[in-house]
Amino acid sequence: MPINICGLIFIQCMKHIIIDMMSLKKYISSIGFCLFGLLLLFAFAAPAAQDNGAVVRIRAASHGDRVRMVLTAEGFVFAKSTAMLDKNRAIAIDLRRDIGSADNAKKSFRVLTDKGTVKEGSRIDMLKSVGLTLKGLTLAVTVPDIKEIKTFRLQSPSRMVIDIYFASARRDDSGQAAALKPLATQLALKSFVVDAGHGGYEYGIRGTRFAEKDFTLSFARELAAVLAKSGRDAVLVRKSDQVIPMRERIAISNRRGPDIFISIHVSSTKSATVYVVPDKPEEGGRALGRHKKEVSWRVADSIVKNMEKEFSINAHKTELPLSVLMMTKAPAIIIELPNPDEFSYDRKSRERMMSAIIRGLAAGTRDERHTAPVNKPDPGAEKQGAVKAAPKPDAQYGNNAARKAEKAAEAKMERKSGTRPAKNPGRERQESL
Amino acid sequence: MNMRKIILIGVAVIFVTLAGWVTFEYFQPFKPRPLMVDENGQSRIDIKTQFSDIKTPANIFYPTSQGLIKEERTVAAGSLPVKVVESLLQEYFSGFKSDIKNTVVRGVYRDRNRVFYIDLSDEFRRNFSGDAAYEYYLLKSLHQTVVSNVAEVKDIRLFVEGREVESIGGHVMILTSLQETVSF
Repeated sequence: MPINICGLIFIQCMKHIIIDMMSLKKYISSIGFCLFGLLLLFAFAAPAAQDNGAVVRIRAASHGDRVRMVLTAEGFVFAKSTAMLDKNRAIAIDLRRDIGSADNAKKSFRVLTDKGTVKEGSRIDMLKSVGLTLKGLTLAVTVPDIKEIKTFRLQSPSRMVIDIYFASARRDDSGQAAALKPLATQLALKSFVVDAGHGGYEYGIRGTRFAEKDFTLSFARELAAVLAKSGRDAVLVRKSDQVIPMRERIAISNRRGPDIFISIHVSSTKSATVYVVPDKPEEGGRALGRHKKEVSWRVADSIVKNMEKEFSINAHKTELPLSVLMMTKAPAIIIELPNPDEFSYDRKSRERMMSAIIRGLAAGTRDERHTAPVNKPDPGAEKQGAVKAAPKPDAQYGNNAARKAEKAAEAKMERKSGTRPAKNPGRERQESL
Repeated sequence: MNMRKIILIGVAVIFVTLAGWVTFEYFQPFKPRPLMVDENGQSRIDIKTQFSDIKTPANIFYPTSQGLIKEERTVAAGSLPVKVVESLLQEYFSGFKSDIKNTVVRGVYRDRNRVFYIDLSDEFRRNFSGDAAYEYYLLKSLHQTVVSNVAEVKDIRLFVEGREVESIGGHVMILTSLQETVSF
């Protein structure tokens, strides 16, 4: 009897299990159908996505003495495309060898710029004097007064970079430097390290008409040129569009031991800001720390005052413990210039901005001639990347009069013997970097 | 072995299986320890509530160009500090209006010195666009959000995609401790 009951229970259980299995089978089959559907979708969607064809995005920017044009490839890779000057002195960018092989891509080939899509046969103005025309798979770039072009390719994403140089210098930097020379000769400080913020893949602020890294580079170059023209020792930390780690920037400054370190950046607003080290009591009140802080503050106050006087903008000094301010041994300031999207940087206002900075530097360091301690170049920082944040004890920073006299005598001797061009010592320092 | 014995063993196996299934389906063997109790020692939260459903108030700080602003939010509570930090940061990033909100917290780890290592996705660096003050206050707000809510945290180190990065926006170095960087 119990066996019969158990048997019955067993049969009932099995029945339920089979029914469950059946319903499970339904689920499995519906999941299978879904997966199959998805597979079909991918199978059709993938070629459809590829049908978008090749796209070339073009952007151009003026960099003082040259115009840089960057072509970014989408859907293909720049491998055999060429760019050369034709007999009419126009640049012919031939993309046929990279795009021509894929018929689909050829049919749907598009050229996109900030100003919109480039249509076949019609001209689009990339910059004031840079025109772009599409003829099949060839792009014609017309630039007046062209001297030469330099082309190179980059990867990830695939890009073709064309640097266009002009026969006559487009922006007369030397003229600007000459105009500001009388102002710069009033400077009490003799050596400067000028740092252009960001660079390379580090764009900084990306505006609608500018990238911070390019703007800071051109401005820093001009500032260094003005300082060098007036006989000051101006070292440019970044000379081209390259990534320089902050540690390296600090090491360069500590290695050179300038009278002041100036870093150029761009503000996100119309106002200008000059950053300085915060007013924080330091352990033991080190002489260099005090001097660094005092000079930085005076210069920052003076630059802010001059900027406000020169332009109707808000300019202010801000104390923040930013790395380059804290870790450079020399007095250091970061100047955040007004955002170029909201402030016009034509030739005249650039010059006025430069003169406001130089006047600020001159006024803020008027008494430095007699009181400044030496920021000795740090031999320990010779090794690239080595950063020593801690200032040295007082004893190591004595009067620099002897050193200055020695330096002047050396320079005089060199000038006489002709071993060193006396005209522009600052430039030489720049090039040696 | 005769037929009767086979049926008996089969029934026994099925009975044990069923018993096990009923036990796990209708009775919870491990009851979660109540995280928040009232003055009578009773749990404020229904015992069936999942961990992720428990919310606790937290102060979240956000950066501006002039300083920090504080917002009060609720975040998922947890018994482990690293989990609390993780949920805090998820709430912190979700409150951004810029593309930084797409930043993913890849992981939070701690060492014996109570230094918390926060690993963020590359969106944190890639989507940053701002000046020096904004970058400084961004890092300060992250530090403040974590430190002010989790007493266990002594210091923070930031990583992006599992690697040390020098800076988020090219103004403030984050290779050293965040406490040191933003302690002004």
